[in-house]
Amino acid sequence: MPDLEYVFHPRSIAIVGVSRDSSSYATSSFLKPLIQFGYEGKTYPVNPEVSEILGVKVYPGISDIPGPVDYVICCLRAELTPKLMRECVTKGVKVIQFFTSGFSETGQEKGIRLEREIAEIAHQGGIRVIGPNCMGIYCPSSRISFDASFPKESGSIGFLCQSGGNSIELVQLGNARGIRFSKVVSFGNACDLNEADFMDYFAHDPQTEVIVGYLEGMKEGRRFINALREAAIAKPIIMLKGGEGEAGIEAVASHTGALAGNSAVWGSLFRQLGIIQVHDLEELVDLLLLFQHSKPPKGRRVGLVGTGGGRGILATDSCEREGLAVPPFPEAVRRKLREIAPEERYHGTSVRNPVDSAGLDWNPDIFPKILKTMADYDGLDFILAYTRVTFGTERVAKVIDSLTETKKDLDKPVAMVVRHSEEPKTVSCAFEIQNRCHQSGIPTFPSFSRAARAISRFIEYHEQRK
Amino acid sequence: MPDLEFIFHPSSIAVAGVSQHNSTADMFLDPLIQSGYKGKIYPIHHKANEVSGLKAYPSIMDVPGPVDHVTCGIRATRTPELMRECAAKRVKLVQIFTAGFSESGEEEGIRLEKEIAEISRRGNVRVLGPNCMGIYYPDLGISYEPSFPKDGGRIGFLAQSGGNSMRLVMLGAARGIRFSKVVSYGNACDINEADLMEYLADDPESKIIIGYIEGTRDGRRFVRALQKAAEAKPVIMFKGGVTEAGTRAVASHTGSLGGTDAVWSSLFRQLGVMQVDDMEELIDLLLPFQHWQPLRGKRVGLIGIGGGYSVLLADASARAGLIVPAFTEELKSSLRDIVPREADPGTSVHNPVDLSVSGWNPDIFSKALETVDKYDGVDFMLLCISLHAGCIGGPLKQMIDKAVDALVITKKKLNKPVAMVILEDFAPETRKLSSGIQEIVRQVNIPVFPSFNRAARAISRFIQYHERRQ
Repeated sequence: MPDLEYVFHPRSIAIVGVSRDSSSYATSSFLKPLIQFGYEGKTYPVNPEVSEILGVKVYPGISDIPGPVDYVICCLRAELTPKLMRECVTKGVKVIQFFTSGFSETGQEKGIRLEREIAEIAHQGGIRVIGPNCMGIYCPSSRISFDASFPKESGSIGFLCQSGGNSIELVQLGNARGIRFSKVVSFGNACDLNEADFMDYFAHDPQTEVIVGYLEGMKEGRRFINALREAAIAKPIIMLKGGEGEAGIEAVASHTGALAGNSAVWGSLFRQLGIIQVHDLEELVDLLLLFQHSKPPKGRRVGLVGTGGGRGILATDSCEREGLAVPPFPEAVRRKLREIAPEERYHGTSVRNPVDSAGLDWNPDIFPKILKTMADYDGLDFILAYTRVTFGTERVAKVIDSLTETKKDLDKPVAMVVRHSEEPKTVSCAFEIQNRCHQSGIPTFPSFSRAARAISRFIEYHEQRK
Repeated sequence: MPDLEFIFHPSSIAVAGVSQHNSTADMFLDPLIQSGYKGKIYPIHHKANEVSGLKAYPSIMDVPGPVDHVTCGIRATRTPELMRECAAKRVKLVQIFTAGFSESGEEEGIRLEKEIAEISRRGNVRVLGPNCMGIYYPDLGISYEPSFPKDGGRIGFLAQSGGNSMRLVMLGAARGIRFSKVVSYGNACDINEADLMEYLADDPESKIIIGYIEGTRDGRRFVRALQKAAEAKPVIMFKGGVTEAGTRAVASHTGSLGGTDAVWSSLFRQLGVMQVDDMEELIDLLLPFQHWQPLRGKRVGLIGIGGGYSVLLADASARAGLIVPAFTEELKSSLRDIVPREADPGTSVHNPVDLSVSGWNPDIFSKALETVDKYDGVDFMLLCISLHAGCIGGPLKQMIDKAVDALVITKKKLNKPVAMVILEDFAPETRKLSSGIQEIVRQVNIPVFPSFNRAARAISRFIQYHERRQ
């Protein structure tokens, strides 16, 4: 098993191909993030025509750098890469990441030949290559990033991603919903280090508790499947496989030059190995949220509580459609709930499952008692609460306080659907609610369908491991 | 067929049960004032002299002129008395917001509902509800929520649930959906789903009908009305209570019978009525109906800007049943002339076209769009951009603004419909940016979707609807 730990802990990084133009890729995607993240190793921008950029001294070439260089990020044109590779060998560089594209993914002879050439030099010179045609490494604990706006805190999710664009997409989508990563690797055409190496690495990485993969095709199918099998025994794995249909397969070829393979084969492989397969980025983030925040519920029986009868019906339908059970409450539980919220006083409140708390006005004295009573009932495995956000209601803030406070005393998982109109005004309010819920270990979802689907798959994963 | 036109044109509305800032005032009086309702508004309260700046009257009988429409927010037990007064005053319509009737499942509530229905019939006063929000008719300034849009649209909506009607109007508002008329009708003790479906089928202001129903009061008539409506216009139904537990929840919500899912679904299919499973899907589907003419076919030209999401975009399209045709060599070389590989090696000119960061260049982006538009192997175009924290405040933001301006100008020259996916992280700052772009592009009839799958699914269903009607 290759030990790739050093890849994530370089003592110095050279960025080749920076230019004065601060919007150039080399500068905005690689140099700026290192500065803003406060990377503690040495940073060496390289360009023969510039002497300083963003306050950092620039060197004319790799060989002109005084100290050792562990890691090189290459943004040169494809034709210039073999020469750079040879310089790196001489300099004793350990890893080189090629942002540069124009290799095998073009489908053209010239690009394929160039890629073979750099792989060959790497092999002979003992340098490992990430890419070409990729974004490289985001490792917040080492303060390395390929996007200045990524979160600076670390999390427990490891992500290996063939596509650079999708790696940025998932980190950003996840960021806004509180998902934090241990390490992200965008590895592109994978001419040297490939999906099998990184899967292997993540399987053994103690920082990584959940593994996510976005893959378009495999370079080393058999080794990858072995790595996947081993990883799946140790940790939850969620895979998004790009290139399912004919059009997608064609797009894969021109994107990372990989062979997408047959989607039915991959689907059944994932099922056999107990790997969760998702079909879009939203579903992926929904599931990650549960793995990050929630204990697995013991079963599929959900207690629903929220405002509005119509919403309760839609919540119920969504849950049942996804194979969750919404059991009616026995007389004893209903009576208990009625004692907490007497009909005469809290008009319009319904104490069946779903509990319609409309009449309670989200009363912070009553609501926690309702929640506690539901959690105490042993016919339920978890609770899904829902609220609608109207801009400016302090009431909502109170509910969240009482919800997060009550949650501490409950031994059953709680999730929440926070529905808002997507209007910028209500989004701020929803965003705040979401963040507070996440801090208390309550995952939130934007719709019933998405909540029910993610929770059902989360439970399914744990059922299969029993 | 009953002519319900009058319920949308009251020349005066009395709101019973309002006091300063109670919920009835918030929900019914203030929206009327703020939406610019031109008729007379009479707050009714036994003690107050004035509510929300309007003169209040102790009872309906004390109002000087005629009262066409009464909104009732008083307790259930007192509604029969109010109904009798309304009959004496020759009120045309009483909308009962009050809950605590048949939906409670309790003897007393059921009896009360029967009583008001009886008074309604004898006194010739029509009733909407009980347990409902009533009417939203923006053209006349009638509304039950101050934040609803003031401008009207072409979508008629009948909703059994008040809460879901509000949710849909607000969700839709944020995405540019506008309504002709919305009626939340609750327990339907008098005016029911069949009456309203008949009305919307004939209403020239409603070009598309959507319904949220949980059960029916008059099933046979409703099915006939639905059939007639579906022949005339696109109808989209959202049926609440399709599962067993959902049906149980229906009973305690509006007191109606949910029926079985399979029966409803096959009925909808037979009648050419589209069925959706959630609100998001419903809004998505409304967008092409609101913005587009029927498409010629399902062949899509996919164009991505700024990212490597071509693969997922192609997969989502194919999965939803759209066709992503391979481009001809000729078309590919015209696109290559616009974005030479040497200039940006990250680009791809297959379908999906990946313009990478070069796509933010307004010139490249416009030319690529025009080139795909001219190719007769596609029927419409789907663009994709992505917004997140990295787009806020930097040079990228300026590029995005310029590209959006270019899109608006270019769109006017195109012959084919264009839709757009804006992937975003839904953080407040991004939302503002994304919402601004949505507002701009929908002026040129570009519907915007938040994910590949949702765009592809909605457009595919839109196409299927028209295919079946051919």
